Amino acid sequence: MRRLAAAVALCAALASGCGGSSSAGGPDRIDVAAAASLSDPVTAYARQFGRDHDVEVRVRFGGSDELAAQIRQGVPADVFLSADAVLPAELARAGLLDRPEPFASNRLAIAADPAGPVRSLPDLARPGVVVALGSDGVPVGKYARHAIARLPQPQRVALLRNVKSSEPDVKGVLAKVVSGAADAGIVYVTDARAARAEVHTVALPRSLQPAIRYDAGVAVGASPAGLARRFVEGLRSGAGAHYLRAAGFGPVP
Amino acid sequence: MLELRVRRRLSRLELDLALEVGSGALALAGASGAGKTTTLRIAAGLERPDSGTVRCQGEVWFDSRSGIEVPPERRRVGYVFQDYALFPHLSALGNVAYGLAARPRADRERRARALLERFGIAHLARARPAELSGGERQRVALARALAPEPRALLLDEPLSALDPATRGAAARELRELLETASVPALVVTHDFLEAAALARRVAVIERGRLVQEGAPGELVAAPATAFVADFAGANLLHGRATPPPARGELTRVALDGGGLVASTDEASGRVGVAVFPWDVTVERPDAPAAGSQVNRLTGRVTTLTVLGNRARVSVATPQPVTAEVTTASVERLGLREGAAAAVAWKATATRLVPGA
Amino acid sequence: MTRAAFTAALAAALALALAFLVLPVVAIFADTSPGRLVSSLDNPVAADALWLSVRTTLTALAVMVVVGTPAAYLLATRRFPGRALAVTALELPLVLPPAVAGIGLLAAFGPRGILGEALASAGVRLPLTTTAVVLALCFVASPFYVRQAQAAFAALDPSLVEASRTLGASEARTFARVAVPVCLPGLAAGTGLAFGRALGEFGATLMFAGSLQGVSQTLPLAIYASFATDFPAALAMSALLVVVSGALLAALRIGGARWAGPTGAVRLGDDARAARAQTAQPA
Repeated sequence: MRRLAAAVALCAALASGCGGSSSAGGPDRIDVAAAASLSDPVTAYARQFGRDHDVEVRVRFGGSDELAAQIRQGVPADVFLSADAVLPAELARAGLLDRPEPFASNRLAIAADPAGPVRSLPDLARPGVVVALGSDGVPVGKYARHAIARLPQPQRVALLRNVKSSEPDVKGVLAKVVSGAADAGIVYVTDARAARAEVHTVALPRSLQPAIRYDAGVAVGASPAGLARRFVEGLRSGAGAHYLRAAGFGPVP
Repeated sequence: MLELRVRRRLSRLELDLALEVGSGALALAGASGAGKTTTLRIAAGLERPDSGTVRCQGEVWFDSRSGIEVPPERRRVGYVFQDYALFPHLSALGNVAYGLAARPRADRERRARALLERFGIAHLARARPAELSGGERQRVALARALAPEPRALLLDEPLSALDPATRGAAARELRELLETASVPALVVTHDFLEAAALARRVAVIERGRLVQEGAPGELVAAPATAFVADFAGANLLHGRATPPPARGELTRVALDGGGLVASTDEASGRVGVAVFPWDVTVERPDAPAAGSQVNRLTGRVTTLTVLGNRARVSVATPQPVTAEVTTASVERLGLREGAAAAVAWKATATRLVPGA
Repeated sequence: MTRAAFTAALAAALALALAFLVLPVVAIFADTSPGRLVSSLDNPVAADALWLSVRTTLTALAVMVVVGTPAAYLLATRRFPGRALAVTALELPLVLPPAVAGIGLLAAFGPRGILGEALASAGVRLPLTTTAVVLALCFVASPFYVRQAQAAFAALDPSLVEASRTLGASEARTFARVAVPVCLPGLAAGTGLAFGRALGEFGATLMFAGSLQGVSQTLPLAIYASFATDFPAALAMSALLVVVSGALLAALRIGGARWAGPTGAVRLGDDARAARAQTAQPA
């Protein structure tokens, strides 16, 4: 019986341990939910911020829409870094985020298979070309569809016919190109740059570029709220901004 | 004629056997693990001998020297498995018709039904094996084996899966079947009485080798080895039983050829009288009858076989009755072949088995 | 520990397991009215996804059964060098994370994969197609079928096979007429497990086949895609998946029980049944 009691105690301890890790950061931890496109600079920035402020920064990356949905379902995050302004605004209206503000901008580019048939924008609409986009729920997909919507109608229809996958996030789009499953995809310039060893980047003309704004918000009830706010501040004008520029992100528009 | 001359290395012994089975059944008897079933499987082509030949009715089924090996499906043997191996997903009719695939559909069903009829189970045609009793399963298995008109019958312990109550009747039917079937039949059994009940000739194998072959009475009277002596235990006499006239009395059996014996077993009609040689005493023919030795028959000693310190003495009464006695008794009674002697045993040592 | 205390501990463990496993399923239905469930089928995304899931899963199952059944029979009935290795290799996808399966399929059948050039020269492009979905499903689900089929064939009484041979049936005919029908309950159970696994497949499909409505967006992918944009729709589709899977499980249970019923395969308890039959019909 004593052994059973010990087992029960162990289970309880494990359960409380698990519980601890899934609640928002305690006094010495901040939980950050960040758009997948931010993974490289934000990872680097979080490491430095943690060292400088003697705090543990935990970042999880995903499609912005998915992260927002998780926050809406009550999965805790102290800071939300979105690849658009719409999702943070929605969360703010729902009383979940405190005054989101922009911290970076980005542009779209075509990531093409270096061995594939795509060398220019018109190539995307050629018959037989396989194109991957983000799904229309995820910012990179919305932006790409905005850009495509500005093309002349025949080209637009032909291109959309070539879309063979709607990926749940930008990394998925890139992965389809890198693996050769797709000939090209529309991604952020920053992702194309990070994968430049694997993909050929084709710039999109300025006339097609949508305004891509990254907004950051601190969760209502975040703790420690001061540190979370300072983390966002650093992205706007501190060490974080430095990492973002280095990765190809633009300044706040 | 089914002829086997085979060698096969088994895990614990080497099978080295030459057998000839004419039309009429040969019982292959022996202790478990002696290689009986392996022999049967070799005949069917389910197992391959290391060397040797298997022939049936002039056709070579296996010859290690010329590399001939006819697969089981082309040997056309009727094999009855120990547990019958009926197809659980098919009805009794489906089981019997299974081996008739080559025939036209109507013909197939007609023959299968006729066989079920012959075995008295036509009313069970639609039943699945799981719904049949042990005896019914055995009949379906026999009907199935006979359906394709096999060139040889191979039966593995055909009675062992039956309960004692049905075994007697089944044995009688089976013996009749084997005698009327015009193909060689090899019946494996580990039970001497069963062998004697089913076949006119019994081959005893011991550790993979044939040690003796003969009529059941010959094996009892003159066992070639101590093993055969122990194994081929019982005398089997044939006769007609009259049930006890009242409670507390004995069954009387009038033996074929003369003589009357009593048994505590109840039976009527044709029976086999089984008595073990070690339950039989040998006396001088003029000795006074001892109290409980109700069964007493006289005749002349036909064979006298000494095996170490014991001897088998067979007395023609006229049916041969073999007694096992010590060599000292042989000397004391002055037994020798041709001498007159009496054999006696108790009614309680007299087993009545259903028999022809 | 006393017997009562032990029983209480067992009951507590069962209650915990049940509560944990049932709660999320109940929660899906708590948030989804039956009306919402039906109207979710009017949503073209959900309807396309359901139809695609059914189509690809059934196609994958057909492939698994046609190829997997003889393969399992060979593994179960013959001994040959490398057999243990083959068994392990066939079961490997069982323990592989779906992401690894996706990468592996790309590395094998992708344009840059081992067979990429051969496929390209044959004019075949697999990734991001419905065929790719079927391949992914086969890859992750077939071990469930093959394993179960192998176990079923291994449990087949060898004397049934031998009886069939002595009755003039070739090995092939014996396989079709005896082994498969007798092992049908086991094969059906394997099909059910594979069906369940295939219907729920997500990772390998997303990586190898992508996600496109009507082409490669199966029900789980559609749920994932709607999760962020339309949570109620995602819930409704989840409920749909629960209903379909639950119905399948129930059908398997009932079908299996019926098959193994009084007219079914010989198995444990059979002797008791035979004894009853015997007393019921005096010889």
